[in-house]
Amino acid sequence: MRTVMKNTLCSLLFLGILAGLLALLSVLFRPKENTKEAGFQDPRANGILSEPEDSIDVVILGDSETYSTFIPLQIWQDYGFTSYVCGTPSQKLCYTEEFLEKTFIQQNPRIVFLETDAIFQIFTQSEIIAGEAENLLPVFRYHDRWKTLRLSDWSFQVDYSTKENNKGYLFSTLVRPSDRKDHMKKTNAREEIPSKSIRAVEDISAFCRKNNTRLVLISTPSTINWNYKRHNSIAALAESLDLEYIDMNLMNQQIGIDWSTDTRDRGSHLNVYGAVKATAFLGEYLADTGLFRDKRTDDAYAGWDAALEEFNRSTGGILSDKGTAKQTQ
Amino acid sequence: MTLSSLLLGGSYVGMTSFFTVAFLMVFLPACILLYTLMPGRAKKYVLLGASYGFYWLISGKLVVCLFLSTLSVHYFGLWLDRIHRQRDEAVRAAEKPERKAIKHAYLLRSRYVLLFAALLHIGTLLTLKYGSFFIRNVNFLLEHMGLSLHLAIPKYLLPIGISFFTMQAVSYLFDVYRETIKPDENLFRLGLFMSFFPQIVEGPICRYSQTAEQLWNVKGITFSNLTLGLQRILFGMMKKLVVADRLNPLVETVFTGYQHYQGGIIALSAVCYTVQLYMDFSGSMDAVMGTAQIFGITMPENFARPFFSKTISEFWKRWHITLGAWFKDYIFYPVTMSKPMKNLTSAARKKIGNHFGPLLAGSVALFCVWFCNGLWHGAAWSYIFYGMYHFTLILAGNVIAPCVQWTNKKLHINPEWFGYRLFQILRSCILVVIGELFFRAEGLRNGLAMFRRMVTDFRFSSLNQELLDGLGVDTQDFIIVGITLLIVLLISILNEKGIQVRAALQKRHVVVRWAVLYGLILYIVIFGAYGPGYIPVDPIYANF
Repeated sequence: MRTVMKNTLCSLLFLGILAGLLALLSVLFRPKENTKEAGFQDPRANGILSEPEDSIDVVILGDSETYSTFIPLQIWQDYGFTSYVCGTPSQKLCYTEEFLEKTFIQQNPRIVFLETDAIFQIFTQSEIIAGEAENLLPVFRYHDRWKTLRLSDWSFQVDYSTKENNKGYLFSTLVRPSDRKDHMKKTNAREEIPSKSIRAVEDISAFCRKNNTRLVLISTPSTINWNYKRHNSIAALAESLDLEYIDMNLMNQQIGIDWSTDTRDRGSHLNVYGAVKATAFLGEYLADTGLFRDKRTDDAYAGWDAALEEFNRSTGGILSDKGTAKQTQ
Repeated sequence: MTLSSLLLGGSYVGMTSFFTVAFLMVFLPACILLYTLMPGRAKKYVLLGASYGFYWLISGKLVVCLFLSTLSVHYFGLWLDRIHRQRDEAVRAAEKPERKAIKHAYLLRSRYVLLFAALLHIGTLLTLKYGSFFIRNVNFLLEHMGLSLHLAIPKYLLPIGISFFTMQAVSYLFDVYRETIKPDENLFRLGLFMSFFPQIVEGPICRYSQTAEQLWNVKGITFSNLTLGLQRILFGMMKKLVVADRLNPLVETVFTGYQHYQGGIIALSAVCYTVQLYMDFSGSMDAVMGTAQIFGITMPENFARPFFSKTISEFWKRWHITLGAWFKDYIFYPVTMSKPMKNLTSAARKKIGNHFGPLLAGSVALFCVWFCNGLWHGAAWSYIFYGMYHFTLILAGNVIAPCVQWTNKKLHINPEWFGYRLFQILRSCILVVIGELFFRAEGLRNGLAMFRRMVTDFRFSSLNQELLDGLGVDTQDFIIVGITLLIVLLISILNEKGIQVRAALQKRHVVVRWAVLYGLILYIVIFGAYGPGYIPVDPIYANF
């Protein structure tokens, strides 16, 4: 019995010291700034963490479709609403949930859009646990920074105030046309949604309800990543959870995507020309909800004007050339 | 995480490797806990339940294949035993002159049963794993014969580890047939032997006599077994995560787009792949051995420092040992000892002497072994070529052995001289690397093209930093890989000298022990190729 006690205590002590060492390493390895150069993970999407408290009206979550499709600064320019794209490449819903929770610490958006391509990304139990471990001990997430560590990294101080100018949008003028014309050929068939994804959407929906936020499922234009089978599955899921669902692929008459000029990779993602059209549609939708006030004259939001100016400067005036979103159609 | 989410099964759990969070942080601790809480007699059933649970989690419904395979082996084993008992009774009752004929009759009967049972198992494996490869080749032939006939290519779901558990099943049947073991009447014990969860994905390929009794007579977990087992898992984890997975981007990039690279880069990628394969497979084996050790099970080792081999023949006695032993016992010896081969040996001995005579029959058996070995690794011509490559090297080694001995004697070269042994080791390593190039290449045609480019377009200048940076592995990565390989080399040298590092460490002061363990854990945490920016790499041998 004494041996068992001794072994148990030894094991606990060993694990305790190990946890302490990992915590210490986490301090060392955690990026000290929220920039790409400092090694911060997904700085574009995580830029929402440096936005002023309670300043974002709309949050858009999902994978690469989101940051290729929506330009928050265009919505600001046209309507004076503040939005942010928290999209990351191949975002899985376990990571989406993490983003949502992080966002709501500082923000209280009225609408959250969940791009539906992410719902079909398969994720495993290992990824969920790993994500939680990474949040608890950042050394697991940032261990690869051993290549760039400096003496100044031995610090408890972090500065996560660097703002992301494009508010999550990824600018691209590349044109690689798509010749697929029938990606939304009507069918009654459905593509199976992974059961873990269904549960994650349920959790996201419950979370939004608890915070009095409207959750909207949205499918962005894509001839490669979207089809009618997926539409049917998501429509059924939205109905079962009593959620609003917008499939932009079925609204091309309103949106006007021209697949010969508006895609950067043969129909998988939109380029800026397509994004301007898609964002105009979203802006109109937001205006129609009547949930938001125009903040363009509010001094507290002067930073958005500066960001818009910088965006127009760096993109050769892509938004100023187009004038208002409606003129682009 | 809820139990229901863990019980989803299939790929949703993400437990295809022993180094996943789901296995190391959830499944294994749960097994250990349940195993510890259960009374002595129930522990074996915990292992059986855990094994089937594990297989279900990684394969879903295909767990039925494992169950049916076990059921069939159990039935045929008992059938063979019944024939043996009937034979013994008949022999006892018969007069002496009749006994030989009776024995022969029963031998034939048991041989038919064995043949049917083995065909059933191997046939299933051949159909599921090689069916589409076979049909593709038939279609190719039909097309070249000008026939318009085109057979549909079947698509089957392949149960994970089928090659491994089929070989265990066949070895059990052969051993019962040869009466080296008694058949197991206990379906649960046989089921545990067939399904024990650490070995089901990548082996080792165990014999019934090696593990069945151990598994069935398990005792409580001792603190020593627990710590030693976990240490071995950690060591395997270092090999897999720090070396194998770190080299993966380079290997992947060059082997999938070799057309863009010069011979120097191709040679480097072949070396990296050989290192990756060894670190991946032996690292996984360390996890298997370590997991088994936690439960007090000693499994047969699959590796014995293969890169210290002086010949290719020796290499295969040190690399994937249990596979080599299986082929030796169940293909090489039966073929060599068959009547036609014995006749061939006697005839050849008279004509070409005592060295080359037996070599002839041995070579036929060797050919069968290496054809099967190549094919076992996968349904592609590149794997068959890989088998034939090693067959040629071993055969050539056997043929020229007297010549080498004669030359050494004439030149007064001592084969035990360190320089000569080093030369032999380097030569073996180079030959192994060339073989692995064909093994990894995307098809035989690409393998040949890569080899040609490596030989005809080799320039050291191609190994420049600029090019290497484009392969996803930078100088710092190479430094870490180098340091880790040095650690592995040092431990291998100590092992080769008979020093067991873990046992030696156990005798050290607790401060030293803990410092080494913390060092190893933090080394893996910091330098492991996992998390954001890395794509998880499934164990390479799980695909075979």
